[in-house]
Order: sequence, then structure tokens, then C-alpha cells
Amino acid sequence: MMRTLREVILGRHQAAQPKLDVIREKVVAGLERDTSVGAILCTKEMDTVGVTQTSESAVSRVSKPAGRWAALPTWKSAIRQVWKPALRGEGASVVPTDWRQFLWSLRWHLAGMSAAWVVAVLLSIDRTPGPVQAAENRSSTSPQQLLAALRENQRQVRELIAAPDSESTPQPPNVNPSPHSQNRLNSTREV
Amino acid sequence: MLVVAEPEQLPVPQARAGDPAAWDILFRRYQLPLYVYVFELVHDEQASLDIVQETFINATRHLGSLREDAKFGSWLFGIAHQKCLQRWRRQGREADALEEIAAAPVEAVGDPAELLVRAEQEAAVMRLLNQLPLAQRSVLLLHFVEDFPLEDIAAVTGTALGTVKSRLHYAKKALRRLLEEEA
Repeated sequence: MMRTLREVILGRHQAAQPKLDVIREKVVAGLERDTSVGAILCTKEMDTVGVTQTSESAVSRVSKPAGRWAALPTWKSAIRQVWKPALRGEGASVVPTDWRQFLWSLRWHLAGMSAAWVVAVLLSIDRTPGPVQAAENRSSTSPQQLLAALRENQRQVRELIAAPDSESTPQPPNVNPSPHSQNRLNSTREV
Repeated sequence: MLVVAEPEQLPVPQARAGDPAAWDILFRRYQLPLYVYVFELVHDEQASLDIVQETFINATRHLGSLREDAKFGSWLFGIAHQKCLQRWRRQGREADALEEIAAAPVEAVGDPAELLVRAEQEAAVMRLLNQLPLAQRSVLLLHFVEDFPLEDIAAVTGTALGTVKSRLHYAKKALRRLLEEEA
């Protein structure tokens, strides 16, 4: 009996078919779950916005990679095995589980955002003086100091006004350069 | 007997639209050939199953990068091939994986079905297949298992067309010699 090389090679691996079926079913189930979440989100958007939408947004959510496979139990990954009990929650409806998975997949983003907000709030509290503190700063100058400052100001103004009458403007020195020929004459005389 | 669907009949447009049933058909069609290809390269059942799963997941994520629907098969094998390369790199076998061989006189490649194997020769053929260098084995598997055109094999393996031809030439020559000896 003669077989092609293709038949020979594929025939030797037929035993792997059941395992491959399991993998295929898991991946497709993940897709279906994403599609259902996308459809639910799409419906919620329609409810809130009140605008008719096509199913396109549900499809586009499928193509989003973020957190998409977080709940998919991989063949051997220990981290993802942790998710199995959550996925197999008996009696739990599909939607809450998906929402929990969705939020759980974003946990680091949410934690980071929260931390950033806390830091921003703390910084703004430290730098901005409160209204009470500002009022205290304003009332810290006493009336005596104010009066003294006012007097000093008046004195300076009086000095400025009186200055042109008392002082004569200094005349610039009369520097008339002698002609160049005179300079030469002087130099020859010296010699 | 495994029935191979024509590329035109594959529901790639529906899969693009996110239809899980379409993905199921596509995966069902390619799961065994893909597994065989990966297994014959890495020789590890668990790792092969991992790579097949990762390939499926990547395919669902990045189908948008596929330009021609008719090339879905070679595109999928390309993903798997890259996964194998990553594994080899992790194992420090990159030199083996990227091994080049001297240019050979290129002959007509011929039909994959031309090479018929008798039942008593099967074990020997598989043994020889595993003795081939990785690069030759990869090309030979893609040629015989999926009957990809040489251009597609070049795209999957990320090598030049001439390199694919020479690798296939050497691999087939070795196989023929074995079959003649067995006869």
C-alpha cells in the first residue's frame, strides 16, 4: 500500500487531535465571550446615548487585545491556572464574571491612575495657601508699620519734588578739542 | 482521510468580522497540519501544543495584518514559524535555526504527491526527516504537508526564494536516495 508523504506525516500525529480540539474550543470560547461582552457594552452604550448603532462596535471590541486573554487558561501557564476557579464559578452568570475579569485585567492601570491622582492632590494641597492662611498673612502688618511706611513714602515724594529747585544741574566740562595742526605745533615745540 | 478545503472556501472574511464560528472552521482546518509542522521542528509535544495555542490567539488578534485572504494558511504557518524561532532563540539554538546551506543547482520541485511511500518505508522516512537540518526540514514539511507555493514558503520562513529552492532540492534528494535504498 502506497501513501503520499503528507498522509504519512499527518497520520503519525492523529493522536494529538483531541488535545488540539480542546485548544481550539478554548480559543473560540474566548472569542465568543469577548463578542458577548462587546455586544453587552454596545447595548449599554445604546441605552445611555440613545443612538442607533450597528454591531460594529461589538466587533471592534473583539479586536482589542487589552485583557482579552487574561481569563483564558493556557496549556501550562501557572499564572493563568489561577483563573480557572473563577471561570468555573458555579451558578454565577456570565456577565458579572466577565465584568470582574475585565476590571481585574485593568487592576494595574487603575492602581496607577489612583496613585497619580493621590500624588497630584497632595502636591496641590502643599503648594496652595489656604484662605485662612492668606488672611493671616494679610493681617500680619500692624497699623504702626503701615503709618511709618506711609510717612516714609511721603518724605521720598517731597524730596523728589524739591530736588530740581535746590540743586543746579551739573554743567558738562567744556572740552573743546584743539585743532590737529595745533597739536602738531605743540609737539614740535616740545622737541 | 483528511479533506483539505480550498483556500477560496475558507471563511476568512467572516473571521475578520469577529465571527467565532468562522474561526472555529479555520482552526479546525489547520490545527493538525500546524501541530505536525511545529512538532516536527521542536520535537516536544507540550511545547508544540503551546505554540499552536499561541498561534491561534495571535491570529485572532492580528488578522488585520493579513492582506490577502487566500494567504491565510501560509500567514498562520508564518506565525507558528516565528514562535518556533523564538523558542530556539531561548534555547540558544538560533544558529541551527538560521542555518544556511550552500547554493545548489536548482531543479524542478515537482508535485508533493509524486513522492509515494510504501508502508514499510514510513518509519524510515520519518527517521530521515528528523535527521535533516532544521532549515531543510521546515521547507520540506511546508512543501509536503500543505503544498504551499515556493513563494509562500519563502514568506513563512523569512528566506529568499533561491534558498528555499536549494533547501528543498537537498531534502528531496536525500529522501529519494533513502527510498531507492529501501527499494
